[in-house]
Amino acid sequence: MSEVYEGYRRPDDLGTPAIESDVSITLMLDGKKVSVPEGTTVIRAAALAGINIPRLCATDSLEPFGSCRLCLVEIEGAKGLPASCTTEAQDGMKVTTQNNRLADVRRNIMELYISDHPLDCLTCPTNGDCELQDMAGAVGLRDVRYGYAGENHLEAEKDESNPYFTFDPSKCIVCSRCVRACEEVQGTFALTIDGRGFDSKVVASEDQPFLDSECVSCGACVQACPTASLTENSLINKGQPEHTVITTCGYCGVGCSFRAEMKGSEVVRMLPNKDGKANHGHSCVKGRFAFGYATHKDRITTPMIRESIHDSWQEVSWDKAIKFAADKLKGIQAKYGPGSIGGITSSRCSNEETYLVQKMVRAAFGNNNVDTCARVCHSPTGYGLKSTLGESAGTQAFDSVLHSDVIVVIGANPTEAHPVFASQMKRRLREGANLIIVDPRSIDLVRSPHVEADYHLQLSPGTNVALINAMAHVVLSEGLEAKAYIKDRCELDAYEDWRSFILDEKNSPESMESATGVPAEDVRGAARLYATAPNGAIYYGLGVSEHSQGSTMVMGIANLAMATGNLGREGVGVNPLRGQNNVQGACDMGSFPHELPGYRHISDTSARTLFEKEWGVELMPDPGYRIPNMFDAAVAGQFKGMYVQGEDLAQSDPDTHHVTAALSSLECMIVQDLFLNETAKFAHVFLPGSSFLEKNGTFTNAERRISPVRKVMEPLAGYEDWEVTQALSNAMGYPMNYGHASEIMDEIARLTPTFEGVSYEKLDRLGTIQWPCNDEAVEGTPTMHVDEFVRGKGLFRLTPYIETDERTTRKYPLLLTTGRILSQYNVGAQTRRTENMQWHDEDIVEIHPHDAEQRGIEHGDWVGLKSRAGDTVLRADITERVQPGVVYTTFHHPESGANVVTTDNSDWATNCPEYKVTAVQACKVTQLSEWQEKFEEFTEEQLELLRKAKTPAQATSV
Amino acid sequence: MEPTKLVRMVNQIAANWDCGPDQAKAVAGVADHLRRFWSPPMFDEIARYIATGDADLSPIAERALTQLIEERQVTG
Repeated sequence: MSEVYEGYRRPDDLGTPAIESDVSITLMLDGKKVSVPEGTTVIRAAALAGINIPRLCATDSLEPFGSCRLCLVEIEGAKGLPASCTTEAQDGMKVTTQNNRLADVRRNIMELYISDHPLDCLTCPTNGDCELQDMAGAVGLRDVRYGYAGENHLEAEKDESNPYFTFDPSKCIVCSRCVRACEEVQGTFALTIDGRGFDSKVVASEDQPFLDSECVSCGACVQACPTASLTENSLINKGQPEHTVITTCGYCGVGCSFRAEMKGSEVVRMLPNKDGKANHGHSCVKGRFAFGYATHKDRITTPMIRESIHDSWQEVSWDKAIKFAADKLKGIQAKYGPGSIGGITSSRCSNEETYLVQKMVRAAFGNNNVDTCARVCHSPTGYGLKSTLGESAGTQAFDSVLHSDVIVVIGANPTEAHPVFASQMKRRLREGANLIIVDPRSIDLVRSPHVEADYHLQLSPGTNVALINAMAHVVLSEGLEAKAYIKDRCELDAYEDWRSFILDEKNSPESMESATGVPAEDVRGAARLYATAPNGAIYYGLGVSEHSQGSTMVMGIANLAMATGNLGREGVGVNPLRGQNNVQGACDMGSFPHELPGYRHISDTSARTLFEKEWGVELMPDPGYRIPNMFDAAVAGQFKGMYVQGEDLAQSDPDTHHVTAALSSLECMIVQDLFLNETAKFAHVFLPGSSFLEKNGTFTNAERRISPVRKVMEPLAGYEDWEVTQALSNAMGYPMNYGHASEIMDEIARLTPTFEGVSYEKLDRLGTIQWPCNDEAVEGTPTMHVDEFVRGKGLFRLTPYIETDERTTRKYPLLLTTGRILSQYNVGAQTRRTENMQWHDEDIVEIHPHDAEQRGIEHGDWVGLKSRAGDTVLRADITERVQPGVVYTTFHHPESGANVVTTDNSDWATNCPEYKVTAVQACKVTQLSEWQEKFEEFTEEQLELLRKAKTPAQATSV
Repeated sequence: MEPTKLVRMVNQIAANWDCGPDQAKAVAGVADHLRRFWSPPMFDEIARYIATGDADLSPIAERALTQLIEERQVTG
């Protein structure tokens, strides 16, 4: 991948958005013949021809508005001076963009703007990158005849409530770009222009400080602002960037492309890349603003070792730490056998890094005990989609949603967990697409500005399969299935079996109503709406996979999509919304114990032989342990050593008591991470990790898009993560000699048919690539299963509804379900070390007013949550977002102990934990739980042991 | 590993395969699933437990495991 930096410049802006049209029209601009797609505006046509018409309110990320009047032009035969941003170019039109008359009018307009604008350009944060300043120059403004003493807004008070940006109304020109960005790009509608005429001003919500308003801090308004009225605080503090590097966000599975705008090795700001195919220039509060963790004081940049988890850490050299780790692992294998150690890859790491970890486990450890955090999130997606469609991946590009007529969101909360895609989805919904939501909670999408679900099927947690079967029953019993599609594209014997199974009366909405709690008529209506849509698309999240029947539900979704012909073209599909940045990639790279890269089973001799030849080592043909199996084997004394790269098992995995018992029993735990996370507190070796800003590699997002991650600063600890794995492998006796991450990708491409055509050179050229990328799809594959399914014929799998063991009892009468929040990310290790804490500094438990009243719980009270696995204490939020009988929390803060309460119940096929259903009791309490008190003690002990490593007397770095 | 937990897991797998009239198909499905996803030490553990006679397996789970244990004895 190219590491040549591009000098900083403002991204090109063509004034208004691109128009897609097969019809081309030709106009004359200042005597120059220009051809553009029909529907293109005059200002854009001019920009495409290299003629820059002055403008302030127009920008190509927003629909034309026509308020600033700076872009006016003369059009032969037209009256007056039309605004070129709101005027469509016509065939044969003759336009004059520059002459004395236009110059005078524009100068007069600028004169008025500047008469009410501070003249502090030299000390202004956007000095040198200000559109107002540019326009003053462009129109030749030399004097303001009105003076500056008249009534003005120069004393307007700044709003500095938001930690990431400042609103300075004195610099506002009321162009409405921020308001329109909030509406059109983000879809939140938090901003408005309040007042009329001279009193017009931008306000957030009901004239509240930004932080207290409905603003979600996506930053679209800041990006859209043509002056310094809305400015990133990082830019205010650091000044203008001097170079830019295109890279990919390290947060969620949307995989937004960013311009890292740099000053030396310091990030000044992260600007969403307009050319980014996943995000089209948009971002969320995490990706745009929450990058400060990368240089947070908690970063550990020196390797550390210790014999026992109750010893002080000892800072050592890389060589010593790697040798210590390898000796320990080899010693364990000599004592307990080759299968007594294993490794965990992370969805937060790159494809190259996860590939290398699994390679090291298989080739250097000599077993298949490798697993990944996708085990606890989307492993059922892998199983379910592979079984039915033939490929363990989502079927569409994100842009596909713009062609959907009915959108079904099941067990996902896109506005919180995949906010940039949610904005795109909301855009389509505002255009009129129908929406069906299947969720136990009232998520924001159920009803938000200009979006309202046609159906919210508010089912009881744990009854997904009952509901999807009932929807399928409606489709089949009412003859709504796509008969020709099924006949042409699916295995007919299996279809007939499935048809008989689904048509059983026990699967009807009426029969399932008692299980799901959803009125049968709503299920019928929703099923009809989806089945009869020209394009019906299903998007789902962890509310589908993290159940005891997660895999069954994924198959049920695939069945329904096949039965209605909603696969294989734009606008339809089955789309898992991946939680972390590289969940898809980690799975693709062979992180599961039973699969080699490219989802080929380890028992497949031909696939194994291919890898054996490339790697020069014999591989074990049997599956290794999954993460929960590793924990069980550890507790049983059969599993003794673990290498964990970039994962925090102790916080993220369920049944914390069991997990910590397993981790405590290990003789060697090696953690490679940015911080001393919860798992590292059980470690004997700490190897400093590198953030996404410090390394080269690729991430693969939820739409199979492989995107480049480029090093924008040197690794703080000296090594990129793959280099550390390589060093450990070498010390274990299995040689690796990669000189650059690109060489790892070259090896992946050699060994993985779906990655055959992928290279860093091609990524540089195309920007991103959606796999499969091979001779048949040289530039990648946006939509899968177009003419046939990857497995050939689609396979309908039977999906019996089996009630989970986690059901309510007199002792545990409520069901706990868990989820995510916008400002925090997963275990929070990154976002808790940013100003995002201002939005969510503790996990809370949502409880319905009825349940709260029964228990005497009031808003803000401490609530004890107790399950058969354990108990914890959280503050109460009394809300009707949850239905009676259901409580909800998040797990972003370790001290919350949400996973102390979740159980070891898991998906039957993949052991993905059932985070979404735990039977609990809730009661008002006055103190922390016993677990929380012990957690505090253990944390304090571990932090003290870390502090000792850093004191001069203890620092024996060699 | 805790053998009762392994029993719970295999019973859960069996329950999800036990959804049609063809019991042999369900047994084959469970056996194939275990073959594809279970690590050898887990087989060894549950095989030892089955030998004690204490394993509370569903009929389909029991048939699948019997088949697999015999298969593993043959292949060594």
